[in-house]
Amino acid sequence: MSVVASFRKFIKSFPSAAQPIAQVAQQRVPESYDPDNGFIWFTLRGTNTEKTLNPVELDGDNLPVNTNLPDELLFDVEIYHPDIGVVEMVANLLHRFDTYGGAFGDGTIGVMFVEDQNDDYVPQVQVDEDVDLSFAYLRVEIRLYKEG
Amino acid sequence: MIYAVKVPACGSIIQIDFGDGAGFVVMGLTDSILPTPQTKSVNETPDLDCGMSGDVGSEQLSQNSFTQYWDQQDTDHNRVDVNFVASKTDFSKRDVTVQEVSPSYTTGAPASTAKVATREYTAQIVSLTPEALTPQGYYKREVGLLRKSEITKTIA
Repeated sequence: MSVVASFRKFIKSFPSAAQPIAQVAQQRVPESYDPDNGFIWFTLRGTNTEKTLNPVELDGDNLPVNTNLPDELLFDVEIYHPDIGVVEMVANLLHRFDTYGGAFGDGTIGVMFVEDQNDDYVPQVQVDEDVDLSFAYLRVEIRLYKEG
Repeated sequence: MIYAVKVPACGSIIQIDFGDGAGFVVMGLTDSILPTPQTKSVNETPDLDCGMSGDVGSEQLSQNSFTQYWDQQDTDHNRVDVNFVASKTDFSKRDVTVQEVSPSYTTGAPASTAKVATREYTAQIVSLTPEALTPQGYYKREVGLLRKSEITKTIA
């Protein structure tokens, strides 16, 4: 399972207190949504690598054997719900996973860092101005993901 | 005609033969390698005429180091620790053989082929200095070496 699929499964595994909002965690911007039920949107924004000096060699199939593969995966997470209390609850729940390492979706992670987005963050989801939704923007960094 | 080329540091390795029968083992996932320097002593001689006088003496011992992403479960990383402890009491284990190996590269010289430059010398491991552990950092440590021999350089 890819890290994106594991991320979705991770959010969907939130305890029942976070339901039903976690049930609609998705990677694509929804074309339409029920304003009575919020949603969590996320995307894999990019990767980062602390490079080492170690050489890259080719294996028997001429594929590079590289120790400098991305080991830091950066996700943007946007939480929307008409009830600000629900948004805060889900955001706080995610924050509690800061520095967590272990089972993650169908794989494992070395460690996860959760922070609020910077003030200059530009949300990716375009919500109708007529819809009264509260929101929270977070960024999640995942290190050393291994597929299960 | 200029033959020298810029040689990328990426791909460089440092490997050590601890004399334990395993031969040269690569110190994997290195963050940085400080190649051993070469310094001769300078003997300045007082001169009543205020002139410059003196001489250059013999080559000095020199210290260098490398920083590795420290994996305490890695067999080769543990060889460093084993040697550091064992060499305190067993003098035969004090000296290790170190090789600094450049990445394979081709010079601009005519008919040149890719070659690897190796600097080999005898050294002792004199320090193991872990870096501070921070929430978003990794385990790293600096391994300090004291070079005790001439450097043998080979191009192959």
